[in-house]
Amino acid sequence: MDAIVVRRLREAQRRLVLQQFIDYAVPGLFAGLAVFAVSRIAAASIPAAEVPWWAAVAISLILAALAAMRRWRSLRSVALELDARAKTKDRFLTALALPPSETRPFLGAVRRETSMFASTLRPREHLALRIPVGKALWLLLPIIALGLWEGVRVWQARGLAPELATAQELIEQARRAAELEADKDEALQRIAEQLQGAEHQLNLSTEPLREALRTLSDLEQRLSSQSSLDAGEAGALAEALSRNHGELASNLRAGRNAEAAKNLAKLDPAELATALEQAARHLEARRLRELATQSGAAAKMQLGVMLGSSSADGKEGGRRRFVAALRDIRNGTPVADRDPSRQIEGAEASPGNEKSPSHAADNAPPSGLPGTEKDFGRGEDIAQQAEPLSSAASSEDFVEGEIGDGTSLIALFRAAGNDDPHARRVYRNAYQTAAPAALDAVSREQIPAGSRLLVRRYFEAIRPKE
Amino acid sequence: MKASPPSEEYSDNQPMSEDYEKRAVEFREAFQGLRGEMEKFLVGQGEIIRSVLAAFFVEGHALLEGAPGLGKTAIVRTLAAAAGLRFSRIQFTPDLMPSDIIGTNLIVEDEHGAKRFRFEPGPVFANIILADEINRATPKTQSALLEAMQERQVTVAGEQHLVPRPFLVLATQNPIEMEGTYPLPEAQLDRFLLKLNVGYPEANDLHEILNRTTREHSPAVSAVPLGRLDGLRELVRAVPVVREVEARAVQLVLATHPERPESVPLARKFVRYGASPRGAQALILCAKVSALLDGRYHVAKDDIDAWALPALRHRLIINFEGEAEGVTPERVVSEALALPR
Repeated sequence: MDAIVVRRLREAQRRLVLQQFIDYAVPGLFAGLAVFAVSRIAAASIPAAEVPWWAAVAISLILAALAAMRRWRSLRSVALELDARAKTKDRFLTALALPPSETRPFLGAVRRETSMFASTLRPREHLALRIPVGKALWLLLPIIALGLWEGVRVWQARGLAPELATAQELIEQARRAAELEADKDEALQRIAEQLQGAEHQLNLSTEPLREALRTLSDLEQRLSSQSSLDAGEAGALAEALSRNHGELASNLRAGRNAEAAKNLAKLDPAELATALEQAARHLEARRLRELATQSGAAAKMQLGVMLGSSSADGKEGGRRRFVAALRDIRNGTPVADRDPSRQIEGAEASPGNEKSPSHAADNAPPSGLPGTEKDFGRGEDIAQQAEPLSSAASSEDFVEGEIGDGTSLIALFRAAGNDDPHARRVYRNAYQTAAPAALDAVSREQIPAGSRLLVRRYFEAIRPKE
Repeated sequence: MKASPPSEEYSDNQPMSEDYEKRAVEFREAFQGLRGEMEKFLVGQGEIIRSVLAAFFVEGHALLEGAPGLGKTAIVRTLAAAAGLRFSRIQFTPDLMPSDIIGTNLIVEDEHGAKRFRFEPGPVFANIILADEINRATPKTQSALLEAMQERQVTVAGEQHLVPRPFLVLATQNPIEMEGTYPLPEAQLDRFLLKLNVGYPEANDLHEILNRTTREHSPAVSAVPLGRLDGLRELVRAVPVVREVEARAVQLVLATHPERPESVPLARKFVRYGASPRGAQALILCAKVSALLDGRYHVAKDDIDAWALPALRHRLIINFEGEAEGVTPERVVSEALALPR
């Protein structure tokens, strides 16, 4: 085939493909925009149905280009079109169809004539590009439909502005609440990390249960440290009690918590509840309100413990006593088996007895070694002589005397193994505070199943009786 | 569209075929020469002259149909004069016998007194035959012309006699007077390459006719040197037609056949028989003449379309419904021409 003829045909082919692409692109864009508009409208009820506008347009154009190239893929169809448009008397079709191997002289004349003709022809002049303006106007339909739809949505959104603002406010509140929960999660995460460390120790130690319990006691210690009565609460309580119980009020204001605890033990439970309620109302303190809702004896006991914890020098002792009680529970030492003289507090404790056996036993080496049954968390005193807790040199300050009709928290925990229902209830409260958090942390972390089972079995073992 | 002069892009590296190109030029000159001579005498019949000359160069026969006095006979006479060929005119009448056309054996006596048959050639033994009012003769006489037209020979008393070459029959018939006529049978009509309708001249042409024929000196037609006529005829047949172009002729012919799926609606309804393969042959041969006259060496679809009416109109047989509806073969062919190429 003649090179000039082929060149002209290729030139015409490019031109025809371009024109065909334009012709196909208009209905293609129409279909693409229609699909986009429909998907946009459908997305109001089915969000997944929305098609991005660029995808609809791009797919339409790509399909149009492919269809145009397919339409003019053969030179024969190009030759037919070029012959028809340029009125070439079928020269290109003939040149294309002439058998290349045949060399009859007349065929040579034909090739010569068609080649000369092709060299003078400019396909561009006969294949002028035209924009289908009439068809392109149809593109306005989906665009207008889309504009109307969006306009209606904007108009509706203006009507819903107040509700929208409320919703945004609610979302903001929910976000804040979520942040608070996240803080709690962080605390739980720390607990979980501690538990994980305990488990690690559990795997390494020859006395796994002991080490784990040590960690748990530390955890309980941390929890118990939050129960001290702060100055505001003490002030509010003193204010509530100042009318009928001036001495108690003055002790509370002055920070003489030991005296205040003694006065509190003698207070009528109903009056205490009323005072707590007033103080809670005045201070908006949740803890006081909870105390007010408890029974009179329990409230007195709890308040006594809090006063003991919040005394200047009694904070450490209160925590130690709490830990000691936990250790007793952990060691499975029944309260009844213990020497009553070694009880560090409670109604049986002799107020002001500096040589109390219980105090001596607290610090008596070697039984006071950490982890032993005599260890009450005062490891620093192991090398020292036994020292009464109530001595002036001691940093501990026990609530002396009778603080009420009920028993102390430690005594309650010790008695929890028995049939005392009140002790069991308080112990249950303490258990229900610590056990779920620990078990939850254990279950959420990647902990070996055996170790996890061990922790669970421990909590099963110390579960309060029903 | 005429080919423009070649640009610098063109390089003449094709095999030289100047011989054919020279012969094509000779053909064009001969054709235009004959046409020019005929148009000296004939006015307003340019298309008829062109068609008659095309039939002449492809060795076909033409049927001229038109009212009396439109120059049908003059066309044939002028062609014979311009081509310098022997001309013969046969006036067809109802009592015309076949032997009156093809000739007969006569008993002749030689110098020794012996009697023998001698063939006396009839008027058909000429180069250009004018069969005037051919539909007035009986079918028997008309069919006598068939053998001569198709086989280029006549048979008398079992003896075959070749007619001279070139041999061209140009028949005329009057479409007005139908009484006492014998319409040509389909088989005979199909032997004519073209059927040409001779129309009435325009006013200006009529003035020119009067001007030329009513003076003391009528224009004289001189003979045009044709050289080797056979060579020119071979040249016409050598023009190539690619299959895609040839398909147009096939398409047009098949479109007239009512039983074919390619037929046009008018043909399906009103045509009894469609065009024969001779119709397609006529289309291609005449298209080749057009291509050469146009300076091309290949046939285009336009060339074929241009010859569709004269080449096909007499090959269609309209059915009774068509006759009643006034449907003409020209309408059917025009509908076929409207088909996409």
